[in-house]
Amino acid sequence: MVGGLKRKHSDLEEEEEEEERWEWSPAGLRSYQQALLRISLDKVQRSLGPRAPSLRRHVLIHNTLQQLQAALPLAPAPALPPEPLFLGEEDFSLSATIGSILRELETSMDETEPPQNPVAPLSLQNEVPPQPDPVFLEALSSRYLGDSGLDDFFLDIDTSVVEKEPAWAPPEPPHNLFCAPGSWEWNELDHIMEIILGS
Amino acid sequence: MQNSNNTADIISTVEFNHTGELLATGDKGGRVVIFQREQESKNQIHRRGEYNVYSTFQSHEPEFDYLKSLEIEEKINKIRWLPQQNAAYFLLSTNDKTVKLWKVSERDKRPEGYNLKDEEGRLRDPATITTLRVPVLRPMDLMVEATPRRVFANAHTYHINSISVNSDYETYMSADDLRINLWNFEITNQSFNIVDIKPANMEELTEVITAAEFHPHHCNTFVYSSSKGTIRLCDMRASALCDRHTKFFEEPEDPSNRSFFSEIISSISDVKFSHSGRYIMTRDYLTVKVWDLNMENRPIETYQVHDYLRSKLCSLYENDCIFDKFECVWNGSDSVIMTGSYNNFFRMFDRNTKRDVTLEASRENSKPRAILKPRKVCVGGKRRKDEISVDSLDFSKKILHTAWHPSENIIAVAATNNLYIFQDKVN
Repeated sequence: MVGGLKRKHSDLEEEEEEEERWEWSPAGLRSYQQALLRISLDKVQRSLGPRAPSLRRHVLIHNTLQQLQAALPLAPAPALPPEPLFLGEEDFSLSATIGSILRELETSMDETEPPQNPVAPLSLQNEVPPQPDPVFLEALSSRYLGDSGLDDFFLDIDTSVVEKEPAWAPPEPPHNLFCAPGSWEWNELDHIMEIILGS
Repeated sequence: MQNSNNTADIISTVEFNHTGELLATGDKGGRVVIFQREQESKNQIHRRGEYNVYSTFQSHEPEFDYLKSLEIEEKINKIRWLPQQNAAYFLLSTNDKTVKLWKVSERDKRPEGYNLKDEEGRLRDPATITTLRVPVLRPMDLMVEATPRRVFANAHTYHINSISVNSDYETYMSADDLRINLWNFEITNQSFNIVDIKPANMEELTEVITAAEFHPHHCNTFVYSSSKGTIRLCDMRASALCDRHTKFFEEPEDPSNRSFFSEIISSISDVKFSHSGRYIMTRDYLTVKVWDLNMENRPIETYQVHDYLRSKLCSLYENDCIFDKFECVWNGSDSVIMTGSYNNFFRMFDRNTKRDVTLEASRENSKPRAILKPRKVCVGGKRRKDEISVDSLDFSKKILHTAWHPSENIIAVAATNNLYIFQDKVN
């Protein structure tokens, strides 16, 4: 795989030539950093797949992401922001994306904390799947040999569409928040209706 | 030698055995191909022995881990030979999860004249047997068979990147991203964990093990390298779990070269002891370094493999080339080191004369008996006739795996799915 997206490639080549000429304007540096951020996040997303991702590659990209996040003048250091900072529209979405991915990585390790959907604009949800990918995250999880982590594994899978009644009662509502026929709220209502009608 | 575009044929490891008589390659499809050097005939003294296929076998198959819903690739990551102790040859081959010990042996006779079986192997009716005879061994066409003698499985959670046979010839180690295990060849259901760098909280993970090797003579000593450009030398006599190193090799960072990619390009992709055991060589993305075991604070020699890529790091990050893991090798006398690059180029550095050369492994340039012409990359300004410009380099043609015969000037170079064997010119 050589070259990547043509448009970005030429943008970067331009940046790299600028680097060589030592003419870094603040705006130039900023757009270079943001380009790197975009590429890094894209890599994190794309390392999902049927094969366990390379841990080395993931660690190197993650470390680079942390450096970039630290370098972006408005974003805080590696500690995750509780909610995305309003940095200007573009920065907002990038920071939120890093934040959401890092947060999801963190929550996949922690059994007690349920994964939360990051508060993000709707447009962002179209680009970034809100659920942590269990395949990718499992690779990092210390519960590799499957002793106690299976419940968390299934937390994000919404099976309500295919089942008559929930086989596993999810500890919290599924992530698609609208109430559709077959969803757990619908089943609850059904159940309540039966009770009412029964009496 | 192979001429297909099948990705399963991509060579993923190359290794000579201890005498150089055999050369093994492993590929992405899990196969091992062993070449044997033909005996030099007395009639053709000037013609060096060529390598011909000796044995081919399927070492690893793709597997599926149902518990984790993950595929386990059959690609052979490393092959290491055991020293020969009898007529048979033994080698270790490994994929991401499982190490196997293979026995490769010849059969050139077969028994004939069984009493209870006929020539096709079918049982004879005992009532028809009237005489007793002694089976005899008759010559047959040479058959080379490979049999798996041991399977060392279920000991690695993460991907195995290295295996190394100990100089005691009784044990070997296997290293994955976070742990190193010590095995006894005879025992497959148990291994000792000797290094574990997994943090209690995986979120805190910032460094992985990238390569490991035993010292060639001291069976208690080994080294392992990391993704942060460090090398640790450990002594197994010091403690059972070698979490504390005996020596720590790291070169201070050059502040003028600092960039977002500094860590990635410092990640060590290979570490090799010299045959003498006095030095280690490491390969990172742009350089090869030689370290003296007695000096931890910096390497004694640094060789630039393709420094012209330094200004292209962002593009190489984007297209993932920056994560390529190049290997490096010593020649038999530790005077020359070799490593691969892009565009099917590979580089040799003479440590004594400080001269270096760039050569190319390609069909166009390598007719039999042809002499390799040195290549040059033009880094700027006017390009001379035979030079190639940086922008014309083909980054999909990478030479990651090379091997050097233990005592002679014969090298094996793997260029994607082709294997090239080059020998010294004979007068």
